[in-house]
Amino acid sequence: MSKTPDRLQAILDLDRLVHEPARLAVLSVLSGVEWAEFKMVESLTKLTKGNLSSHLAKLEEGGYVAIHKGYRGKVPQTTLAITKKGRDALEKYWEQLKQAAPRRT
Amino acid sequence: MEPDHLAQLSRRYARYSHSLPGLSLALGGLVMLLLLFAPLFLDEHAHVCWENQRGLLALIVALLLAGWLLIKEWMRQRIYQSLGIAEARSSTAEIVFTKLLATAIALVAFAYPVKALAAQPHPDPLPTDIQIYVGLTACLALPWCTLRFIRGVQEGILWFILCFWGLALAWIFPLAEPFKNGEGPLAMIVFLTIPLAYFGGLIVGLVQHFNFMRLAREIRSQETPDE
Repeated sequence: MSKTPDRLQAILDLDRLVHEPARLAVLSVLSGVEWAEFKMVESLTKLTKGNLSSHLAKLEEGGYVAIHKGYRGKVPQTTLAITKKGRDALEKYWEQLKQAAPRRT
Repeated sequence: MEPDHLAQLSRRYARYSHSLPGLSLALGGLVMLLLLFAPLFLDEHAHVCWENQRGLLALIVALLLAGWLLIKEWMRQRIYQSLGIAEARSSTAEIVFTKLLATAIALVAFAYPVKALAAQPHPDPLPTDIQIYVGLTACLALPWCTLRFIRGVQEGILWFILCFWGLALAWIFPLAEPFKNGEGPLAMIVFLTIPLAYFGGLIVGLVQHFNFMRLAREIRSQETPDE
């Protein structure tokens, strides 16, 4: 049997919450650290504050990112961390993408 | 923009933001040299006996250690956290190392004053010398400083050497005595290893700093992801 239906299925099964480029960038940045400040993610992804906030809200809603708002001294600080669910989703996404990619002979 | 590359950039940046010492390693080497030459300089210029200089030397040691910690934290915030703060994912070995280091420093911090107090010619149950209490407070603060400010293996090793040598100078003068004449195996070992450690720290620190500058340039030149 041809592998094409499997590949098609893999594409169709891709997690849309992760697949969006800006959210994929955010999850990728967070996957390399224990936690990061909002400013650091903003610096690396080059997203605007508003855009980043809206993507983070979606990721938090999906349980992929944990957001903590606090203070560092007197300065407000927002810290972000990828959750276990988020890390698993990212790993699964890469696996599915590998399966979906055409095999070169 | 490749997401894998982004993860790698954030991982590298987080190591600097969190634990790699960079320029503070070079500065630590300089503090080590100052600690080495402080008693010789005092002996040369103060023209008082070693016992009377103990308080002054202890103060210099405390100021050097505190100064290094403050400048290190300032540099981390101004340089290595300039694009935001991130904490690197620590390995179990690193966590265990930091705890062992704090324990070792606590032991050294307690051993020196205990030995110095025990060696007093007329030991009182409650010494009246305020210097003793200031010194003990400084010693008690060292393990806390280790857990609060020291991150990573390189900083840990440097901090341990600084504490060990600083406490030896501040509390046990006979250890420093040989340096006045440059005699004895201990003096030879220290005179050889500390300048070497200084140059090692200087080179590693500068290499780390330039690597960070390159990394920061790379991060600044990232493209925006498609939305």
